[in-house]
Amino acid sequence: MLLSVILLNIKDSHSYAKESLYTIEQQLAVDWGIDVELLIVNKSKPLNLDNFPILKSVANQITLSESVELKNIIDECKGDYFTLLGLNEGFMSMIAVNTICKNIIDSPVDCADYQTLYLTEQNECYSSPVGFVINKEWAKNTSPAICPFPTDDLMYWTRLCLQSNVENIMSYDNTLFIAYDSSTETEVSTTESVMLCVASSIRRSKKLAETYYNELAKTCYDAWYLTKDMPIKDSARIRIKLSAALKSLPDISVMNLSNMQVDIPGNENDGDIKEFQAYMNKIMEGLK
Amino acid sequence: MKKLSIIIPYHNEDESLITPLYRSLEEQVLVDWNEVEIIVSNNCEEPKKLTKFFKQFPKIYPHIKYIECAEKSGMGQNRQNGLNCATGKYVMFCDSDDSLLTLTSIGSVLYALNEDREWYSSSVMRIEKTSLYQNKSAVVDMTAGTYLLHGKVFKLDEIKKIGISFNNNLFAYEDFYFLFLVSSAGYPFVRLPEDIYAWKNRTSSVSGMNGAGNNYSNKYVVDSFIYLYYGVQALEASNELSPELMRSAVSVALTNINRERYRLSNSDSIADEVAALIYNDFGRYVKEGIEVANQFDDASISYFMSWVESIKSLDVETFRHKYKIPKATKYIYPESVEVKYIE
Repeated sequence: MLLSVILLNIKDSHSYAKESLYTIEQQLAVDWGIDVELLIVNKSKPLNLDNFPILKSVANQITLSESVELKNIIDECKGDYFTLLGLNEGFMSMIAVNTICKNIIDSPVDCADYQTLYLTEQNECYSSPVGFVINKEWAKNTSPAICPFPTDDLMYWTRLCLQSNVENIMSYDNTLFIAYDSSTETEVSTTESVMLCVASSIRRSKKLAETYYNELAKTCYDAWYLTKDMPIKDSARIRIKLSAALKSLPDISVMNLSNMQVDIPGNENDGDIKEFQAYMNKIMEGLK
Repeated sequence: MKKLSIIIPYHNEDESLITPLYRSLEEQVLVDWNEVEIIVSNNCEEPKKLTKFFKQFPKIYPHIKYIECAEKSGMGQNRQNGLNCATGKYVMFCDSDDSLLTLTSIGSVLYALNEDREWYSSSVMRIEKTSLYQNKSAVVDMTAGTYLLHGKVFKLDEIKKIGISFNNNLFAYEDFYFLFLVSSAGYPFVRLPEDIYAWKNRTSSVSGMNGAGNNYSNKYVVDSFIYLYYGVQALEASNELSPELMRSAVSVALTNINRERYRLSNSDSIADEVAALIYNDFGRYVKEGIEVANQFDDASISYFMSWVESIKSLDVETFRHKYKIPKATKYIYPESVEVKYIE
């Protein structure tokens, strides 16, 4: 089997599943059960699929238990590749799955990275593994620090692309995924968004080598700006994560970081820039 | 004034067949539905009641205009009824059994319409499962399919001004006919920012019937003929036809003929006649058509060229009579048909 679409319902909060499920139900030119499987991972009970006749007939629903833990979930899927969807995520295109399969056959890379339309308040500052199609064997054979899942934190899969120095990655311009807004998860999303800011910098860096550092500075700034007015307990968490993210970048030394040119286009607030620079200096001090 | 009218001809198809289209409309994002109307035109003699069905789609439900034609009519007339009721600045057609391609299809159309051009087009993705692809589901990018009505948007005022309408004599291929007339107006098709339409190939549809299910001895060749025949009609009507469109039509015809060439080698008479038509009317486009359809191998091209060379004369009128192909009148406008609005 070529691909496993894994829908993670690990919080049992069914309210966001509807739109996402419709986008899966509507997929065209997919031979479910032959080339592609749909694996729904539930925390305690199966999703009710009565309104989704196609999904009902093809989905394999599993519930987490002592024998089936989230960290082992990719052992449960049959596809050579897998892609992870959160509850508020789905496919933008009706031929997304077909396109992904075609690309797997044409270019069997370790990790494929597709564009996502974000309808979230955070827009690009949104943390989730959405948009990645990952080779299962590669994931299993990569450092144990990356795989399997250590927690139920989906962000971990974004970090995968930060920490593991994926060499064999292919970035596509097609917008195949969509992320809907999930207002009750704002706090989590905002926190995690910091990570994605950095992650997206890495993604972009594959194409924008010359402006790599400026891009990184920009995204770090975005992350900082987004969260600077948050309560201290939240911002502390974020600073820790941002520090960890910067530290984990495989090819950026502290020296390089300290040479970053903070040039934020369109932002004329010097006070913010100075505050951000002070913040980054603190982080870099911590990394030495 | 609405910005866009989406016209959906309907003929009492099962709800399960038409659900994907309405679901794909309902799930559109970044759309102000107040700018859009959806016209569902039912031409069945005993029309189904669809209110309950439509209510499953609360976002689009208030914007659906459902009409019934009081008398039996063909597909061309059904499309025309929808067109006659449209109030949007632009119109596009969706067939009941198809689907929009992405969740931003309508949003991207509305965005593109700000340019205020006459015609817009995008590629159509054909969804099919045939022995050609080992019975696996496939998506075929019909980039060359400029002859398709789908995935295109037309300015309604221009349609009316020029006097283009569907031919209500046609039970099938009314869309090709319409499009050839549109193309003959000479406006360029402006490319939409994304591909918007998924066309599902169904063997049970009129145009999708296989050899066992219809009266034609050679379906693909007849298809090819129809494309080209109405091209001629439009050419006659306008004295101007886009070479790009004709190259595309020839390319499609050649593709279909190539698919059937082994059967054609048994010298089916209709195939000969079609070949002659192609030669007589489109000879100057054949070479370019072959270049467009560059997927042919040398053997196919040689075969095709020798075939057309071998048949240089044909009585078109005999052909028209034999296959009951109506001769198009110049920009015919349909007779009025009583249309009932259903609130």
